[in-house]
Amino acid sequence: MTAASQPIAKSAAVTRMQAAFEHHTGSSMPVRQQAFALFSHNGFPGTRDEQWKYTNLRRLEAREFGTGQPGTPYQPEILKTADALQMVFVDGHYRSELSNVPVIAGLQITTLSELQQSDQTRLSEILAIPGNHRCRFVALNTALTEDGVLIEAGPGTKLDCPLVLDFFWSDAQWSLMAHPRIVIRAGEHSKLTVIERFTGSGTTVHFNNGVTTAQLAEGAHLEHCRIQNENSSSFHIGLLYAELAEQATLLDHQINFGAALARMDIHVLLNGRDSRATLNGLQFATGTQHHDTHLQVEHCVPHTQSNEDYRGIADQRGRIVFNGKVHVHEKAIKTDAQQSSRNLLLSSTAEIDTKPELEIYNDDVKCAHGATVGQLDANALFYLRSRGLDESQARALLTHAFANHIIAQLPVAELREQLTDAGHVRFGAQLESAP
Amino acid sequence: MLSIKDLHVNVGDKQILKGITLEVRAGEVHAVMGPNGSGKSTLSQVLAGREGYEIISGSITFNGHDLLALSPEQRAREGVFLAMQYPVEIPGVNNVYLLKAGLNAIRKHRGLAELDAFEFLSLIKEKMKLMQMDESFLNRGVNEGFSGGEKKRNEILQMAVLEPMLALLDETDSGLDIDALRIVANGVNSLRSKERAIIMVTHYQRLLDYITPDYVHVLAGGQIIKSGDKTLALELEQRGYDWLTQPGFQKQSLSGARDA
Repeated sequence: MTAASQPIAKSAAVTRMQAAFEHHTGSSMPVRQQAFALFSHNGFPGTRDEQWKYTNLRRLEAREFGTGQPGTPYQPEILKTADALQMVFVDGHYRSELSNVPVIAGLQITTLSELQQSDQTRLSEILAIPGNHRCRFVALNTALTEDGVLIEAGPGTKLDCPLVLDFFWSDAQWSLMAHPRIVIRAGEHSKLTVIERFTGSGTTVHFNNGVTTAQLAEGAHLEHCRIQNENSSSFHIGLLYAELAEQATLLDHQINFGAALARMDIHVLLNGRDSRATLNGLQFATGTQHHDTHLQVEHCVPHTQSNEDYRGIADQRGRIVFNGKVHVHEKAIKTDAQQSSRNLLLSSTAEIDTKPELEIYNDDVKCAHGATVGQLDANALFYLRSRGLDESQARALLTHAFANHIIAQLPVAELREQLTDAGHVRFGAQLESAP
Repeated sequence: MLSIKDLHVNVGDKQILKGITLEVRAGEVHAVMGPNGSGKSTLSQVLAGREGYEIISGSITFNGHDLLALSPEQRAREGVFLAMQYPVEIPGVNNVYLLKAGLNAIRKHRGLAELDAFEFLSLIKEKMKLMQMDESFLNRGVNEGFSGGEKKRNEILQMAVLEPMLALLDETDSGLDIDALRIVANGVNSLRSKERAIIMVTHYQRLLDYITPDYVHVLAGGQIIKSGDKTLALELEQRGYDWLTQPGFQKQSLSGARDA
């Protein structure tokens, strides 16, 4: 990290964040003060930082963002998901009147705004930066988060329906920022599905900086999805940090469709024997969109497994960055780590940077990775056209098929359909649905 | 229906077709046979409009259209269908979806009403019965995980659904066991009609036992060196191609002069 050597970052951007922090209701909490000090000392990361080499934050730094007020009148168009618990956040604030959270035995749901009022000790405990994470956006989130949710599944609790967290922006004409914090505690042998969905509208530039942390106890199973569909002017930054105990399994899906600039960091620690993480992702950048995903999977103990399947599509002047780091610790024998990054470059002005990174400190492992950047298969294109489909339709169909490999694995049918529709619009053709 | 005149085609710097002339009328079945590397597949690919082939000279007219000026999809909509030698696997593109989109594009072009999902399903189920294909096929990706025989059957199924005016079968018999060959041949025969023409490109006589051609042409070295009726295929089966390609053999351009 070279951040400390970049004092220029302590600029207007940091000063503006300072003002936001001073107005924050929780600014007296030590955990927030420490986090803000860390952020303001380091500032925004620059491209000299290896982790940010391909992602320039200048445009983000140049802009001023206000914080949303609780209760801003706004009735978002919510896609109701059948049989789901649904929590709605507008401009970063939880809106109970738009949400549907029935009481379920074994499941405890607490909003962070509630904790800010009632139990700052507990709040401080869950806000502690996980694993001393060095990412400056995590520090910023910790300092400035106004709301979010603590999800606790007790031992043996098995949720049949997914928990959907919906994030919207009100139709404010000025730029807003939100720093939602999601904390998932999955007890022993519990099983739950959490879906975060970020939906933008209009053209106002907003800034979302979300952090999700998940602790999976022995035998716990968490399926987690993050569907990022912000408007194409906005900034979206996020972290998923997960720690897995023995026999715990994490299945994560990341879908990046929206935003002008989106950066996701996925950091998974396989801390228990026979723990397993499956990380799937799809990034689609068109226009001048920039999508960056950094994965870091740490195999800390023997007999752990990780499987990463990421796909990227860059069209027009879109840019995709993928960095997949797998770190196998010295004692982590019998590690099984598989990584695949497949990318589709649809125009000569688009750019894709994909980089697998394996650090392996013992000999008794099974690790494989593959990265490809290619174009649509000419044989397949000809095949479809020779059956009567026009070229644009054939291209859209093949692009969609490429993306659908990831979308088809999402857990909820409505979600798959919604993304398929969104995909069709993005893939440049209106495809009628298959019979 | 199809008129190929003195067609010369290069792939890169290499001359593959060196003056092909062929007339095909509605209702006819032609077999194009020949040794490996003679240009058989090039001919069918050029007819279907695949890129990568350079037309040096000559013309192809199809029902009054300059075929070479049409894109692959325009050719398909005008009624050209190529059953490919190596059907490509397209994971994630549903078989039914492709067929419905293709059929409706063709119907639209012909001024017919598009089929809705229900009408289409009953049509495809009927055709699948003909090709003895399992219904599980419906929801699979195009050719995804299909065996060689299943792929070829799928090609003929597509042909049966799209009902082309001109069907090109490129080595459709290769890789088929005898049962699959019978099913495929049955599918092709069911499509024989007065309005439709079929060109079969094949290496072996075997397919012709099941689909009787009206004309047989021998393609060698990029030219049609002999044309005849179905007895020519039998002769080739017995004597091979050597007697035709050896020096001293007089090239006969029956195909161009034929008035049958």
